[in-house]
Amino acid sequence: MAVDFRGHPLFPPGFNSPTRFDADVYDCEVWGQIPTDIRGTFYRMQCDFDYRPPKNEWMTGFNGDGHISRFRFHDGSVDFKGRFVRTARLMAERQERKRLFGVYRNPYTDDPSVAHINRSAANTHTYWHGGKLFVLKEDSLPYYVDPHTLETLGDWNFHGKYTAQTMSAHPKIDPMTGEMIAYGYEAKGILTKDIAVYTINHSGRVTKEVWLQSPYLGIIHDIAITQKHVIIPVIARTSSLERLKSGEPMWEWDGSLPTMVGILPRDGEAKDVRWFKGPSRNTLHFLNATDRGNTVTMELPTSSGERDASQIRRWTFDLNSKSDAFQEEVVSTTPGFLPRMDDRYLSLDYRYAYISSRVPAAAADPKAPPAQVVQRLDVKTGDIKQCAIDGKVALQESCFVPRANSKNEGDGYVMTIASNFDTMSSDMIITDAQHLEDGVIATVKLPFRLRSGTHTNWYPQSVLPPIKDELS
Amino acid sequence: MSAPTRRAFLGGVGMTVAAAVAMTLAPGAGSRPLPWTAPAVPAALAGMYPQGDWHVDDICGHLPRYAHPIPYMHDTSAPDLAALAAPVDRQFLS
Repeated sequence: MAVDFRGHPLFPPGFNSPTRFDADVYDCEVWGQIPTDIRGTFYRMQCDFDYRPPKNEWMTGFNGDGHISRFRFHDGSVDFKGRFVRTARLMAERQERKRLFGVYRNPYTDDPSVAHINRSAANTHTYWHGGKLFVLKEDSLPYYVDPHTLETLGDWNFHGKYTAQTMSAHPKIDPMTGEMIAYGYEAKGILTKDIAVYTINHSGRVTKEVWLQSPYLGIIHDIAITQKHVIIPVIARTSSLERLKSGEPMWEWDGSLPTMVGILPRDGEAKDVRWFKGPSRNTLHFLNATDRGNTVTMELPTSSGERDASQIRRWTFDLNSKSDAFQEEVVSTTPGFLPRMDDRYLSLDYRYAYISSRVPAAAADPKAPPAQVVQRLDVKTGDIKQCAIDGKVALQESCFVPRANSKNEGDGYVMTIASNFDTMSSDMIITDAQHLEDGVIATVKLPFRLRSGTHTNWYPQSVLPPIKDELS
Repeated sequence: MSAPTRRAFLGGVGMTVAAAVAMTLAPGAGSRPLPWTAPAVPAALAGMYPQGDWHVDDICGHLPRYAHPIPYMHDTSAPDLAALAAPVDRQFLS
C-alpha cells in the first residue's frame, strides 16, 4: 500500500509535514557576510517519517526516523547535506514498504516480524567523541555516521565495554579531560529501573561503569556534570507494563510523583550516590552544573506542573545537609525551553546561556504570534541581551560557536535554525554572541524546509577528520 | 541508599503537602526549599502563548507543535499575480 499521511493527527498540513528526502546543497545562498573565522560543522537532528505511524502515536514526533543535517562552513561559504540515518528499523520498513514499528517506545505495538530488530530511530542528538560522530536515541545504543558524508556506519557498544542496553542522547563531554560521561536508563531493558553511568576517555575507551537503581521508573532524559559529580534527575513522567500492553506510547505525566535527583561522585561507586527529593517538576533538559564548595548548583528550564509556564531556575544541593530536600530559585522568567552554553565551560563556573525564546509580540493583536528572539542570559544576574528575528518564523535550538583561537567564555557566535513560515523554507541565523542587539550577521537560505529539530552541536574543523569530499 | 518504593514516595508527598509554603517566583528572591504544592503561575504569565504551557513540544522548543497547523502563515488575501510574475511570464497569466 502506498504511503498516505492524510488524516493522521500528527501531520496537519504545514511546516511539520514529513519531508522524506535526502538533500545536498553545495554553496548555499547566503544573505550577509559569514565571518571567515567560522570553520567547522554545525550538526542538527530532526525526526522525519518515511511511513505512517499508528494513529495513537505520541503527539510529539519523537518516534520519527532520524534525519541528520550538516552545515559545513569554510571561508564564508556553507555546504549543506541532509541524510536519513539508515537504521536497521528504517531499512526493515523500506524493505517491506510499510510501517512495522508501533508507537513511541512500545514494542507491544510492533509487527512481530521486527521483534529482533534494533528499535532505535537515531533521531535526537549528535556528539563527536573518540573519533566517531554518534547519533543518539535514548532507548538504544548509538549509531555512528561519517562526519562528512553522513553515511551510516553502524551501531556501537564501545568495544563491547558498554554493556547497558541503552545510551541517552545527552552524554556530557568534560572540557578539562575530554571524557564523555554517558549513561543509560531502563538500562537492563524496557521498564527496568536500572541506570548505568559510564566514563569514556577521550579516545573512546570505557574506563568506569557504575550501576544504580532509580527510585522509580521516570524519564531521565538528561543529566548534568560538575568536575566532581554526576547529577541525575528523575522526572515524573512514568510508565507501566499495563500502559504498554494497552498499546499506548511509553510516557504519561504523574504529578503525584516526586522529583528525585541523584548526586553521584564521579570517582565514586553505586553506594556513594545520594538522592535528593522534591515535588514534581516538569523538565527534560539541563543547562549546566557546578561545584561550589560542598554544594552543587544546577541551572535548568523547568515548570512547577506539567502545563505551567517555563522558567530558568537554579537548584542547589547541600551535600553537608542531612536533609534530602534541595533548594530552588528563579534565575529568569524567560521560557528558555532549550538553553545552551559555551560548552568549553561545561561543568565549570560559567555565566551565559544562549536561548531561542519567545516574547510577546509588539503588535496590539493578542492573537499575534510571539516574537522570536535569540537571547543571551547571564545566569549570575538574570540580565538578558537579545536579537529579534524578523518575519513569521519559529526558532529551533540555538548553538554556541566559539570564535577561532579565543578562549574567553561567550566570545563567538550563536547559530539557530529558523522555520520561515512566509517562505515555507528554513534559514540558518547567525548572530554575534557578544553583540546580539546588533542583529543578524548572516542568514543561510535553504530552498526547502527542515522540520522542527531536536538538538544541535558544533565542531570546529580542527577536531574533525580532513575533508576528502570537498565538492560533494 | 536503598531505593524507596513508589508507595513510600506517595506517602511522603502526602505528609509534606500539609506543611507546604507558597513561594514567590521572582528573580532574585533567593533560594528556598521546594514547596510540595506547585506555586501559582504569576498572573502576568498565565495563558501567555509565548510561554507555551510546557507541553512536551515546548520542552523541546517546537513551535508550532508537531501536531498543530500553522494558523498564521497563510496570506488569505488574493495575490496580485501580475505584479509577482516576471514580464516574460505575464503572457501566461489568464
